[in-house]
Amino acid sequence: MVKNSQAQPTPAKGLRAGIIPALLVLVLLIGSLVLMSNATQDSAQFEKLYPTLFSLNLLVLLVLIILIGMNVQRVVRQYRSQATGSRLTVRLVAIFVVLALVPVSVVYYFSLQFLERGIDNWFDVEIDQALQDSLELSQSALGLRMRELVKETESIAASLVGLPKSMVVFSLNDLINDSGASELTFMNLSGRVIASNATDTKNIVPNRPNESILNQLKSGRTYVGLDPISETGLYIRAVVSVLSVNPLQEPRLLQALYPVPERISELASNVQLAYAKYKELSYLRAPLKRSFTVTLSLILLLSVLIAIWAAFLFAQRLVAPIRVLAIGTRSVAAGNYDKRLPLLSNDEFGSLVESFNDMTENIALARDEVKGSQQLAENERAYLTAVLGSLSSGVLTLDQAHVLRIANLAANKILGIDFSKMLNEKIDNVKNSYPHLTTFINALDLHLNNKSTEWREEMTLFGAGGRQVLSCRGQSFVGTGQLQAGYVIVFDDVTALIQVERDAAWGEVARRMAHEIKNPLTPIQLSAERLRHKCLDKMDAESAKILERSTHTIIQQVSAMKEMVQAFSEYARMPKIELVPLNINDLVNEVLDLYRAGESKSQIYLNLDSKLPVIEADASRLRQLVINIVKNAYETMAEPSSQGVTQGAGRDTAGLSTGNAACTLRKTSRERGVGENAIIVNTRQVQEASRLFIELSVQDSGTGIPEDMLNHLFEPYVTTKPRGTGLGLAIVKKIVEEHGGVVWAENIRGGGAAVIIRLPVSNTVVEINGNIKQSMK
Amino acid sequence: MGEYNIYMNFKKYLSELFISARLVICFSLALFVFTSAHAGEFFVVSAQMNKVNDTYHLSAQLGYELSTEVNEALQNGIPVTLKLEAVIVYKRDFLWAKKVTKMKQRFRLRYHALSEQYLVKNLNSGEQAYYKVLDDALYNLEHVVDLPIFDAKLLDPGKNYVARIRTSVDITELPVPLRYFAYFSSGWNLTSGWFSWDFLTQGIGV
Repeated sequence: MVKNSQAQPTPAKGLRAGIIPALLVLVLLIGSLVLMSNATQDSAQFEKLYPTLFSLNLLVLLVLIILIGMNVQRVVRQYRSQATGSRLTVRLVAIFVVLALVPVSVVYYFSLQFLERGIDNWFDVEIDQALQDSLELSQSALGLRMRELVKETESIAASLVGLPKSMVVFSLNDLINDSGASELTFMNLSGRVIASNATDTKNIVPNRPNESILNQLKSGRTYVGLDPISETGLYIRAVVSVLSVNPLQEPRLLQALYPVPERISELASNVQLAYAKYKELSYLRAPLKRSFTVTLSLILLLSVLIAIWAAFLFAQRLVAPIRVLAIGTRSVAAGNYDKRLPLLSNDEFGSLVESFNDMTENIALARDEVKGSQQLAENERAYLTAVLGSLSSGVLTLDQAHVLRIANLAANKILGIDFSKMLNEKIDNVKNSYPHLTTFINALDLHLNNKSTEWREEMTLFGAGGRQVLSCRGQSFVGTGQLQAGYVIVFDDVTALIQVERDAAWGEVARRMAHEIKNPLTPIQLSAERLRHKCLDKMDAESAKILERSTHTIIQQVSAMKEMVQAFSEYARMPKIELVPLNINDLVNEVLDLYRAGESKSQIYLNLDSKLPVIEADASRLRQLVINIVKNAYETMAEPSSQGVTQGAGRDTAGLSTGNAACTLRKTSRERGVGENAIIVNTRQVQEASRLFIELSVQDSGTGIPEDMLNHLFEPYVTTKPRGTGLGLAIVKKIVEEHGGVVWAENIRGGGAAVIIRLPVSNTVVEINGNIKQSMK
Repeated sequence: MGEYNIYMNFKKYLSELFISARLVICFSLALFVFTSAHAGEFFVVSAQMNKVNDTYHLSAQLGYELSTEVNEALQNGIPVTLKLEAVIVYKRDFLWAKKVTKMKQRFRLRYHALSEQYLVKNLNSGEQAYYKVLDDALYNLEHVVDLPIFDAKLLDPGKNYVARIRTSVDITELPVPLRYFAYFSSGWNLTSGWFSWDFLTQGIGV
């Protein structure tokens, strides 16, 4: 696994990218706030900067609001879409904001209070009053002086009355020195200077009274006022009318400027300055407070907004690795182990991310190993399945709890069921679904429960395919490593093999018998006939009679023995069967017609199922089979007294008593018996263990079969009849087995016996619609 | 019946709403009248330019109605600066007017508590005048007589120019604490707006 190192930003670089501009902005902002604060305090050097700073701060405020708005919008969008880490971001932002807001608000509140009180403390009612009083005092002092100077000016004016213009100039010269005025100006009513004199020769232009003073004088009033001439201090201006001798002449004006004594001027100016300053300050108190409050509020607002912005910044920075981890965890949960998380920081989160990356890498490696092992196991399993599938023997494996683990195709084929549906189920459950395997499963159970390490058994089943002989071997194996201990069962269908072996054995017996017995029979017969021919005429009547009877017996017995040998030969030479579709009812009718035609004291009752399905069978063999059974029944009833078993050359018919009653229901008739000399032939359709069979039963009304013979009845040379070959029912059994069927005999309650044959209807599977628990015979 | 009640209630509600609206309008009007009485106004009645020797002199009749805020500030010793701006522009076809020259005269008006007079100082020339009554001081300021404002050489003779004058309170000269509220206060933002007129420069022999 190659780490995607290019996708990982350097933590330090990321930090610089985010924090440094923010810090820069912060420093600039604080600087501008400091400058603004200084400007608020009326520092001349910052005065001009104030508008710029104020605007700058407002701009920053706006930018911050926009930034925060964008952040809020983003977080709200993430929260609504329930994005990873959005809740944590909201929580962190809320905490940061509260942490920033609470102390700042407290400081703000107290600062405002201090500000309010601090500025108010500058002012005092007493100082206010004192200044007011000082001003009034100054005004009073100067007022007194002014009144005196008005009188002085009026007296100067009086001295000028009647003087011609040319004389006025000279008089003014004298008068200025006497009066103590700094300037005396003689003018007309419109303020045009007629003559002027000043002690200060620098001021060539006389100081004219303004229009309002002239207007006042036009109305006949004198004017006296204090003029704060900035360069030269305080002056008292007194303007009076100079009466004219000639009533037609326009009155003149005399203006005298008296300098206020320097000390008084200085004191009065100081009082004026202090008063003006105090008054101005008092007036500016409210705007000053407002100004400070606004500055403070701006600072607070900026601080809070910066805090909020920083809160967003840090919250996102803190949440980023968590978000990355959450995404990583989710992708790991989804099975994507190749996900590599970018390293965002060098702190604990960074090491966590590194550990996570290591973990996912290890998991990915482990997964690959497991995948490899699984693949190997799959391959081995496939190989095993292929090997098992190619075996002709059925193989089943069970674990210790007798649960089916493996079943190969051959097992399915041999037993005619699909084991794949039964895998991982207890083997006993097979019995429920497939009752015809009960024998097989019971046999297995026996060995499994006995914990036999190795066993071998041959068992016979009667299943869909008819009679089946299985050669079964079992072995337990010990678990090693992950391999669980269990059992392996191997079985082969040896039905055909046994049949062949048996046929070969019987064929050999028959051939030998034919050879060994048939060869001496002809000389015996010829010798007996020759003896009779040569000696009969030469003997007396009585001896001839004896000879005649003896040779006749010999010839007859030899003939009988020949027939028997012939029968053996036929048994041994049975040709291969040829299967054709066949209706068993037709066959039975055809055969029984022969018996009906002949004279017989026995009666045959037919109870044939008209809906019998067609089966695949060899017609000639089946005909022989029916003949043999019916003949056997006839022969049994023809010799009613013969009971017991004769072996060897005796007749092969069990001692069956006769009856005379026919019945429609075979089972009922079996139970209650039939009448004298009655043979009942039944055919019917039987459904057992999902398979369909046809059943042919031939029932007689004899005395039944001895119990010790029931198991050997169908073996060669077993007969109850003195003249039977013991091959009739053996041939029947052989034909039935060739057709995959089963035959058995049973005694009927109330007398009589029945031979029952079941032949499978080939390739027919009937759905099980009930619990068929009837076991195989 | 119920619908009628609803209708009546709605009608009553509407009439009440109208009464309230009328009250609000009356109150607003009263407030407007009250505030406008003290709002103050600067205006230019007339103005003309005369060439005296090589200088253009401005004569204008201005109007100064001070607002409550300005009056109050004056009474509390705050100096109030009034400025008179004059601009000469030359109008061009297809282009914006070209500013030829501009001039600014500033007068500081303040109350001198000791002498109980209003001082008017021309900040350009340094001249001072004293008035017992504010109206006298303003009257004096309103009458601009032959104020030399710029050199005739700056203008081409025989050309049509546009002269613009404006008078207003110079907020930038106010004390800092007052200044920044003055920007947002209609009581302080007193300006006449530009007064424009065309004038033909007098050429040689005109």
